Amino acid sequence: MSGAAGAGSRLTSMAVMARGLATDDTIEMPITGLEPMLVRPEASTDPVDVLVAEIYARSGGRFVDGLQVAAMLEAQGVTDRTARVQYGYHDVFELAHEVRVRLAGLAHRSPRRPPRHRKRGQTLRELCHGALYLLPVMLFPAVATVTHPRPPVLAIVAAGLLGWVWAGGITWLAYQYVNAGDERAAGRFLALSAVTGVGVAGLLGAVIAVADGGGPTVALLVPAVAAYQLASTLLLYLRDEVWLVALMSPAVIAGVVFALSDRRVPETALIPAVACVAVTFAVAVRRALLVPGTPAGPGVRAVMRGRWATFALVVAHTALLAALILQGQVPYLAGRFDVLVAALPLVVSMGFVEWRVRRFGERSQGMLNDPWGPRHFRRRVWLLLAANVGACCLVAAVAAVTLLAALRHAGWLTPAATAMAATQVALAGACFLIFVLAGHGGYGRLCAVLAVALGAHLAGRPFLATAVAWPAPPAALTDTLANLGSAVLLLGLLSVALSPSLGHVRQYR
Amino acid sequence: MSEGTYPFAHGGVSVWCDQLVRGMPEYRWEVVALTVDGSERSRWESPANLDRVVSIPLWCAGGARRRRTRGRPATVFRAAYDTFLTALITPPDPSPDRATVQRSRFLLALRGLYEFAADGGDLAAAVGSNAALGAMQDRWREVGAALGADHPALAGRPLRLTLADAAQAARLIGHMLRPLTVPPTRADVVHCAMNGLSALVGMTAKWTHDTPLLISEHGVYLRERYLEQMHGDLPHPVTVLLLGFHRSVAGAAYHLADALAPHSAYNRRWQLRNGADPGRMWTMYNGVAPELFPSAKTEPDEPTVVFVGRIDPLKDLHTLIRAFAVVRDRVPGARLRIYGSATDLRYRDSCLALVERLGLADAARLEGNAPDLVEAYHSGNIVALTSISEGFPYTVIEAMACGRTMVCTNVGGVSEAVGDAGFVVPPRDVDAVADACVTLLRDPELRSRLAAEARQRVLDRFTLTQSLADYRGLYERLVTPHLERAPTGAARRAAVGRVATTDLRGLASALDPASRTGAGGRGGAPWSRGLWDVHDTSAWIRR
Repeated sequence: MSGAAGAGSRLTSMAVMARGLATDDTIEMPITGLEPMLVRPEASTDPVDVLVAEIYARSGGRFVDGLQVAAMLEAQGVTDRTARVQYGYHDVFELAHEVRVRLAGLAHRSPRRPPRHRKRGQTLRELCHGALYLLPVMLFPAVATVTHPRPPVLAIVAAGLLGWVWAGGITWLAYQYVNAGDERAAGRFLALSAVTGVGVAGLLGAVIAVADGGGPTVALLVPAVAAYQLASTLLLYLRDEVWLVALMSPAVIAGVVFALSDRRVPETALIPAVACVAVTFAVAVRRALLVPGTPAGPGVRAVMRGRWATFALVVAHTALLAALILQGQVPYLAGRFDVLVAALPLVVSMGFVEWRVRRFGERSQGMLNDPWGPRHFRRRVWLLLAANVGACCLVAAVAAVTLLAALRHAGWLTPAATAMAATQVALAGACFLIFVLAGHGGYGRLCAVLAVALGAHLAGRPFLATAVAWPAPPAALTDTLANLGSAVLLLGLLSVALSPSLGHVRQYR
Repeated sequence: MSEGTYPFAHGGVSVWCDQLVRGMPEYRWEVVALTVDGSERSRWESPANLDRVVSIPLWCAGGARRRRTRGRPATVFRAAYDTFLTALITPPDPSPDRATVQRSRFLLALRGLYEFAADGGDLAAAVGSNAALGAMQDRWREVGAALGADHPALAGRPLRLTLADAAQAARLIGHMLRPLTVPPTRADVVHCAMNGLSALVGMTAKWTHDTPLLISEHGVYLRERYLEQMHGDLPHPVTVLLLGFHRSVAGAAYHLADALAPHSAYNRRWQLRNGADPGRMWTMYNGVAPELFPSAKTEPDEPTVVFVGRIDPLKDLHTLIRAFAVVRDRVPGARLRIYGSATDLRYRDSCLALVERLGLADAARLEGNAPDLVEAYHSGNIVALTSISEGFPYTVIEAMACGRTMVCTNVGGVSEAVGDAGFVVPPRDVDAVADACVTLLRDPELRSRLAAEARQRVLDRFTLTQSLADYRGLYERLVTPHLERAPTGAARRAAVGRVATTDLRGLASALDPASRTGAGGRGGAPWSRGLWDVHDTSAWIRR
């Protein structure tokens, strides 16, 4: 057995090779099971038939060409000498070619497709996001009572803006870690960033309390709102919505009881709220820190790979979106309850929008498996997009009509509230398009479109107030109509912004 | 030129690259490395004559540098890409002449894609465009129709290519074509450490500056890609396209290269099969410095089998561990020491689990990286290598230089390295590995005799000095094809293009082990004469 010649002589034993095939698990064939062959070759004395049957049983006969068969045979110990002595071919390549030809005559087994997992749980989780975003609203009456007669508008805007942008930025960065295969680092990064974000919010609250007044309530309000936003961001990222619901429920119940009760003691709502937010935040941070995984070790610079400009665009588009939505609502914090409440349909329907975004991605990816060309795909994906935008608008419209009916029943329905509700319907469709465009990496286009829509709202207000031939239109109506116009414009602009990428197959991996 | 190796990784190819750079201080070097994302850090101390390392990241977002010039018309891209796709999808032609035509066409297509990128075209975007995907689907259908339903090459292929498969293949190919989008290297000679994507860099240098191209192959790049996809999880049509790409690039590189330097005669078979011209091939064995790997004076107290290498599926350590279980039964007190870092943590864990399952925890150990290779080789009575794929592994000739007998599997150039100075058994054959180990461990006289033969074999055939001299000679021939004339500075600069094969017949016969029959060492007249010709010449050129 010494030397290559000895090795060659051993190879003449088919049994040895078969044992090698059977025992080794180093390079497994695509189908390694012992499934019965679909086409069992007739008993043959030709050793090549035996070899073909062996290979077919293990691989399903799927080879690209004869060279791949040769590579496989060599890895199993077949040499040129074996090919000559045992099989009667000049070398492994000729033997492999013959094996390939004979394999072609057999039926090919398709590789098993992984079973489809139903995503009902995920759908339910996503649909409930709207309700989760609604939770802080329940505490608004208590906050308004404490700060009466001067609502802390600046503090609410600052907290909302900071929390929104911070959450958007750190989530994007965390996904860069995930894409680099380091979920553990992503969790730790989120936890650390959330704590830092609340610290920044605390400082901001203190500055606003000193500069704008409002005292300790304002100083506490900003970090509390930011803490809730960041905690919910972390728990949604970790798919732990149930923790958010469970931990915030006491605060919500206290807020609802306060709103419905005659004897209004705001502390009964606010103290549980602060406690719940603190606990929820602590739990979210801890769970993010406990994300398992093997540390891959790359720092944020390695993970980012020079994509800081993209990150800046991510932050910018988040800030613009937050500004666009908040600036439509902020003027009504001071007392226009009807208009403020009319902004809720968007919040309620956000879960549905997120669900449809995921399904849109899945459906469009699924369409790639149909036997059509790119043109057909492009047409179908536009139709799918239109259907989903319509569905998002419809759900928001149902919520809006319900709300408007309730307002009318209460005698609070005004034209401004109606315009605000219509704006939310358009924004629901726009949010769907924003998520799709962000998924395509079109952050630059998003920034441009959002900036134009924001500018249109700001410019449209005085235009409507002066140019439209109304007999002195109320300021609220002018503003909400301008807002509606900008939302519709946003829808159109987003459709245009999507057109360069939507029909491109490469966007749907 | 290297891919995934020097200076960002350890391993045989990196050792070889380092040997070349350090061993030829009279040359200035530039290393072009294909990397994953460019974040890799050098693991080797940079030699003084290494001017710079250029990294071409293949897999990060964004891609390589692009020139900001006006893009070429899409029609230029489409024409080249259609030919490119046809080559990928069409199975290799059994007729050598027609296969040569296929390779030539593919080469022209590659050049067209390179020129499209050089003129400012965004190659990755073009390859991933809807039009290109549609073209891929069309070519797929047309080639299938042309070949006919019963053609063996179509077995298992669907008749239509889905957009999902086309997009996945295009994305992968778009990344792998990135070397065509960077400015070509300027050098006197481009030496690729392997075929495949590295060769694309050599091609662009040749097209642009007429730089001679030399391709070494340690393992066979194409064969390793084929094996890799045996257990890949890509859809079959994507595998067809991907391997068609690798096969076509390898064949085109063999076609274009001025010289090929397979590292074993075994590799030659694959190269010849894929269109290499035997007139431009010289088998170049790896070499080690024997003074750095001194012969062991003693043996360990306990019968010990040693493995030195990467913990990687290609090394098939499962077979070694299973064989050792048999050895342990037959040679009481035997030990197995596995030195090396894990390239695949799951595979390392599977090895550890196998050791546990076979009850070998007290006898077989994964020692991690060996701080001192010589000590690692000396720590065993014998050294085992049970790989399923190899080129011409350093671990074999290092162990042999250290006076250790090898038990190896018959893959790549292993049998050429070991010769009769060790045991070469079939890959994956647990019993054969175990039999060989037991025989050697039980017979100290045989072990000692083979160890001495092994050391002598390295001294005779596989020294670093010999290896460097061979390469030095080849470099000088590549830049000065007509050495009978005194090369001047101007001539040296102009000396580019294909090596005149007739000039190298002597060198070929001198360097090719197949021609050394009967020489048995350096005393053989033809071999000695050829080498000294080269040595004298290179010394003269430097003067």
